[in-house]
Amino acid sequence: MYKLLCLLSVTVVLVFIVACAAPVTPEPTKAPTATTVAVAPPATTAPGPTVAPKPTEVPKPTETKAPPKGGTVRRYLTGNAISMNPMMTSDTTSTGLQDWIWAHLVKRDPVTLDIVGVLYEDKPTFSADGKTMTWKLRPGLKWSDGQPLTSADVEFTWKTMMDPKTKLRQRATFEGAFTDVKALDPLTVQYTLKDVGFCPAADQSDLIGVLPKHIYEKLDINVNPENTKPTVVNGPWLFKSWAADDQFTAGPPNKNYVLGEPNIETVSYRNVKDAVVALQLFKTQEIDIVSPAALDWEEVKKLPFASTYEYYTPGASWTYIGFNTRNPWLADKKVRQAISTAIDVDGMIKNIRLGLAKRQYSLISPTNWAYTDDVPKFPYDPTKAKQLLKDLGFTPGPDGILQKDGKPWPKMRIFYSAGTSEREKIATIAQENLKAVGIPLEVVAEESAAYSERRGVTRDMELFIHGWSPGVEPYGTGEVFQSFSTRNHSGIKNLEFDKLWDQASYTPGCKQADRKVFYVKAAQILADEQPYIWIFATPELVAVNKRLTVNPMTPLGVLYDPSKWYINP
Amino acid sequence: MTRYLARRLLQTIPILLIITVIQFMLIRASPGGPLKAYLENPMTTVEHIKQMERQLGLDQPLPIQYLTWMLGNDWTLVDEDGDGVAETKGTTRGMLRGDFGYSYFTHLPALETILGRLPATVELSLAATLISYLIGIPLGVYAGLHRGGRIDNAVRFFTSTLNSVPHWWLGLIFIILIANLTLATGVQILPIGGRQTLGLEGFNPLDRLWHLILPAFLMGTGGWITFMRFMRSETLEVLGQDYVRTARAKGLSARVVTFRHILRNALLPVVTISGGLFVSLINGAAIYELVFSWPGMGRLVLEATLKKDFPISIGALAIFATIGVLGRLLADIAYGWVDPRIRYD
Repeated sequence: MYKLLCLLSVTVVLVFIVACAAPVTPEPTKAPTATTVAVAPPATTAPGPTVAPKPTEVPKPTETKAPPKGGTVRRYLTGNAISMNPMMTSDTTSTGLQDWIWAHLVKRDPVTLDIVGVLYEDKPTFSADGKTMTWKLRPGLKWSDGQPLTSADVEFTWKTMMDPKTKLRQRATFEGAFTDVKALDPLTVQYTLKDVGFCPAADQSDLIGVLPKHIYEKLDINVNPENTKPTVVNGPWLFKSWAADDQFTAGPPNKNYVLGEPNIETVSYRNVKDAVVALQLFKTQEIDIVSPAALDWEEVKKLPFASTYEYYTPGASWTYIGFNTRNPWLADKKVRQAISTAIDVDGMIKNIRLGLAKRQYSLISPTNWAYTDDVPKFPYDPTKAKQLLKDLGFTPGPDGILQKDGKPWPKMRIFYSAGTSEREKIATIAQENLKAVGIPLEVVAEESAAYSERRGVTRDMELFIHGWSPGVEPYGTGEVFQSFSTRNHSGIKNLEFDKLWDQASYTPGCKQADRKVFYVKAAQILADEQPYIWIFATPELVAVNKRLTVNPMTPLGVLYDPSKWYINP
Repeated sequence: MTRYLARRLLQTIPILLIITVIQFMLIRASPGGPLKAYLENPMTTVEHIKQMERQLGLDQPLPIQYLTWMLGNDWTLVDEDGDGVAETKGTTRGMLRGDFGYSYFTHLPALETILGRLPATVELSLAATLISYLIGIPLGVYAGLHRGGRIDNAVRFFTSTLNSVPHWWLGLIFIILIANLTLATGVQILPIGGRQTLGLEGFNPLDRLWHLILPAFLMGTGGWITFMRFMRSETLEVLGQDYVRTARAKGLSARVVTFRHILRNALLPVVTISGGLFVSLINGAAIYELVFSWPGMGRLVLEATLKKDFPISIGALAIFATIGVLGRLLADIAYGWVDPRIRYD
């Protein structure tokens, strides 16, 4: 028995040693190295905007052979979906699953980024007075049960969304864009715009997609079996099964899908705790696609069976430190500029993101069409920060804390949502940086819902860390800085910015180049105001098992159209 | 015994009522609410939030909300469209009539959601309890019978070391080790999460068992260490008793002495803590379910509590409390059954 135990202990130790050793790359005569495709040009100090990656033509296949059919794609989720009915959800986890079974009315062209129709044809037409926008559905559309998909379904979807009894989370978004959506004939849908000449109207005409009227008109939209097990859909795949917080499966392909029957037979998702566990699943090849954390990216690039992609989308997410400008110590923009100068953002990019981020200086992402690099910048310079504060009348007291007119700088708090380790590190670095210039800062982690209430309602805060996912259309981003907006967490008030942002949204003709003129000026004004210290924009880090062919690289990345993926023979 | 049982069952009613009041008030006392997350949408106004609060009855005073949860609202009018006027008949029957309300997020019946996840938690907890018995009891008896020996010393050292680290943390380490081992050798010895293989249709007992091994073993680690220690010390105590000496003197085999005399008496404290062990495993399942992506009730409660989905979190906590109270009652009854000297009136 004793000898057995000794043998067992030695075996366990050996297992540990083997497991902790670097993975052995298989012998190969054809050892393909992991492919990293970085699309966006690196951020430089050269003047002029950083442009989004040049639109690339979707490469035409060199052979006429159709891609192979069949197989399963396996993916993961870190959150729990709420419902399979797109009207009942607004979270990205739920919409991420719904996209496999529900088609959109419109989408962004992956190359040009224009809004183009999916169920709708081509582009919309606007009435001469700018009050209505009309789309035409493609002829011959069908639901998965063979019933025709017509404008009556779109009108039914709108009416149900606007019914006060529907517990719709995103009603506000659509109420702000349209006052009515109606079917003029079986293929024609007319949207009445709330504001004439509103340029992002086409972007929002997708609504929540479209629901089958012949199924849902007999049901209570809030509570019905179709919300968890939809029997009739119009997306690339049919719904198969969903066990909440466990697994989701879609398949087989929908023969009536508008863009053609997909190649992959089924798609399965597993719920996991976080990206760390997901990475382990990818290493054991139990899943085919993973988006690892920045810390794990170098390890993932070395995996022999992985193709890796690093790219910035036009709507790249960015992280920021916000100021509550209602606080008298932060009300002066020169004080905020001085504080910005004291924060080592490049150090944050290097140490927190390991270089995997782009410095951001304004509210528009560096790869967005409306971006300009020509905005006031406040690079890290603690000596200059101290001088700027001194020029404003702040001098260090005997304890090193700045004071003005005999009043010491009060201890300020920087809040962030608990459980976000990256933001915790940002807060800690900011605390050290500000301590060095004589500003005391306390770091406070707060539970998510309480943190949302603090930022949105009580505003009992001095500084706060958060992120923003802007999307390709900049309109929604600027709204949170407009003086009248109830979502203006920082409390910034600049009437010139308000006017310019509205002009960008209502530019006659709605041409991007014309709208960009206003966006550039607005970004310059806001960067000067510094209601936020914009920190960095983060790239998409995607690793794909080589057994799977995904989409060619475009400004939207490589995962924009799963119906075209296939399993390599 | 019947009177004792009836008395204990009657006592559970006020205990559960008090527990539900405390849980309800604690959850509602925490800042934020189920709808505050919608403030992230720049188009959502405070008025929209207030409308949703009226629709869900969250604008009512706390005691009214508690009574509604207990008694239902099908006997009164509610503000279904959130316009500030209660003009529609309510639809919930209340917890006392088996209706725990509807999730604020999924709009599915809370009880149905909770009970749908209960089997996964019970499965994991039962497996962990079984492992606790199968490893802890024999190991404890053996260590007690061979006190001071190499095995006894090795087991005591190993269990002390194991108890010094959080067992759920070991789970994360095992996940990373298995992944790297698979990468290095191409052989996956155990899955690293989930209740069954991704995409597998139907129920496959072998696949389910394979997925159960690691989470159940780690979850049961605390249990078998506790059982091992109890059994060891009880065995040592029983070994010194006169009846054991008499049994040996009568010429009974070592096997008979061990199983009929030593084990049966040494098991008494184990029975006492068994009821508590299963209950504590159920209650502590959340962290293991999180680490191993096990779709159980623990994860559901954790997420519902963080999102402030009150019907789910309060309903699940009420079920946990019921399981806890009944579990301890069963342990008391089992104790009386195992030990004939104990009688309940």
